[in-house]
Amino acid sequence: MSSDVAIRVCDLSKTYLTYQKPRDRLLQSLLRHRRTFYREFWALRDVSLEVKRGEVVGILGRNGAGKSTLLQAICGTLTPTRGTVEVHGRVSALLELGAGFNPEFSGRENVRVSAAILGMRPEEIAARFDAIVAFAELAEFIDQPVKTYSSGMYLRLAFAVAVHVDPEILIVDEALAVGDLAFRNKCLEKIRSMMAAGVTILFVTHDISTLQLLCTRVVWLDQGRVRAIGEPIRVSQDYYAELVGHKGTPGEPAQTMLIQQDTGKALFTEVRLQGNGQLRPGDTLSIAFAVQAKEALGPLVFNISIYRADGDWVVGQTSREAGIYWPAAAAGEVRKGRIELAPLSLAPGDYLVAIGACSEDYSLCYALTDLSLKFSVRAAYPTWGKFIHPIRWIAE
Amino acid sequence: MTARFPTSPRGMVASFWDNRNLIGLLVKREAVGRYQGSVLGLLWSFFHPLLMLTVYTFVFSMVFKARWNVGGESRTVYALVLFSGLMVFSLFAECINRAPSLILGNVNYVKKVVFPLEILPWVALGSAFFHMVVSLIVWMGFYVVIFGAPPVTALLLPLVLVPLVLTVMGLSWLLASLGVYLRDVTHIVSVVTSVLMFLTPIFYPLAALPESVQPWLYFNPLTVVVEQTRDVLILNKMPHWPVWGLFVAASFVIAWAGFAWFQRTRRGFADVL
Repeated sequence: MSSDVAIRVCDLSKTYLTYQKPRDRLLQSLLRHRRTFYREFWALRDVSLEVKRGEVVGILGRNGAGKSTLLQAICGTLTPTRGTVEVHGRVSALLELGAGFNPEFSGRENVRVSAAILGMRPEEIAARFDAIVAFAELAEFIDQPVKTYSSGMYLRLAFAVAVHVDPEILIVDEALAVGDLAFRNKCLEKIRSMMAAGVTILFVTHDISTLQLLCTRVVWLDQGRVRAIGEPIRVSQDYYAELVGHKGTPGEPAQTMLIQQDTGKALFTEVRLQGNGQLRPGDTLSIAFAVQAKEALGPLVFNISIYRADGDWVVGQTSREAGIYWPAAAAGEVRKGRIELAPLSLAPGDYLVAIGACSEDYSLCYALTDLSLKFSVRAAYPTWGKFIHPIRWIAE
Repeated sequence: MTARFPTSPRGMVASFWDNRNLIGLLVKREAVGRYQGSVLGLLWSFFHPLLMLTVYTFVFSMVFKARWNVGGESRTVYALVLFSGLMVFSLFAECINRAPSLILGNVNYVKKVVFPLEILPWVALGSAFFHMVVSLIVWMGFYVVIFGAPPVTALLLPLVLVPLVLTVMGLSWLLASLGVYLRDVTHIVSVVTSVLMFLTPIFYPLAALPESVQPWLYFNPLTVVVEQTRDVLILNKMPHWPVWGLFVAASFVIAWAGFAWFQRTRRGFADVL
């Protein structure tokens, strides 16, 4: 076993056995497998993960994906049903905001006790006490009972304790969400300095930007299984794309089959996306189309709609705005064209495209495809928002 | 994974030793913290035994004119004898009554933080012990005022209490674990301790009972401790060492059995809380 591994999780599974009554749990341990008193719920299934010393690993997943269960199993507050967890090093865990705090007692008292729970000796606690209070910015309130604290103050104190006990491994579960921006920055700075000092960090967050900025690796949990482990930006963008409602599997080749309604006036004979449908911001998205008239039609305009996979309509434009018209077509005649989005300015995500052909004054729809064309955008750098708008930055 | 919660007697001692700082801190918080925010603070912990001892003295010497059957003693002695037994019993009862809710009342320690749960009975014991010491100080004060210096054998009290402490710990571990799974335990325990108070020779000397009944009282683990406490505190008698030794050995087995039970069943705590 190499000594540079901080956490090794092997085929970890956790079944929650839901018991009707607590006493059934006791009967179960006494009777072992002779009878079953429970219903099973798999919170984790065959999760394997190896975290090297000094790595910063983020865990992503929807609610109920097993993120907290995994962290609890690693901390040892939860007994896995199957599989093993090895942890090498002193762990400081922030599983829930100030969970070790007693609301009746003062901040001072709670710092002492929670630092002792994290394994510090009284003289170590005394030596670091001032630094903890200063970090939490609670000097004035430290002798107040913590029940009078706001949730932000709670977080600050809990986080301050957790990072000041010199952990070799820091485990944080969704804690950074409550702090204000100033404190969040402070935490991130602290985490960075801990990273530099070689502390192994494992954390859960729904904040994809933090994840992209801090992690060396990201684990995506989906219904208790590891969906992906790897490079933070790629994994978190895939996750995000799915989170906003993708129906198919990411990375599948671009759809070319045409689904459309028959208007009786015209039909698309071709709508084709150039390339494999995997794009980066700044690329050119090119769609070729052809429509065949079923009866005599006047001059045509075409339109394009792009929907994000969660149904958000992000682009809706017609050729009319650009003053581009296609000449009138007799029955059976075909009109062709190409749409180019260049540079592609959509933020990473999965998208669906619909194309329509309309009359010159846009009053009649001759043909309209369903949202059958798919493409995905992935960036190599963290992005936020819906668009990567062309922007000029001018330093003065 | 199986080695994570040791069940051996060595593991029992090691868990106490490794966590002594945390235990100390939590005991202090609990003992002193009970009076947090009150004006008189720690004085309250003296107030209760002081009041009780005064009331006992009044009731038993003035109202009931009770005597301890040891002939030729002053009236106030009854209250002091009674109170010495009661201190021992209170230590036991406080711990045992709290045991079933120790884990239930600290769900956070089970699920949300990495916490050595097996020390919670130690913390409860430490806090009960603190109250006993306070009562003892008050008791000593009364004793000195009425009779003068207490007998030298009083210094042996800590030794006399060793088997009690071990028994209490064993039972606390057992009850703390059972209390998680069977919520009835809390109620059963409070009934049993109330009954036990009268089945322990606190209000009467063991010798006051018919001889045929006396041996039965030895099934109550408190009987020996209460009697020996009175021996060393009042009667200037050495404890009966062979009985004491036997009792220490037996109570160590009880403590270990309770610890082993706790460690074996604690894996299920998180599932039902």
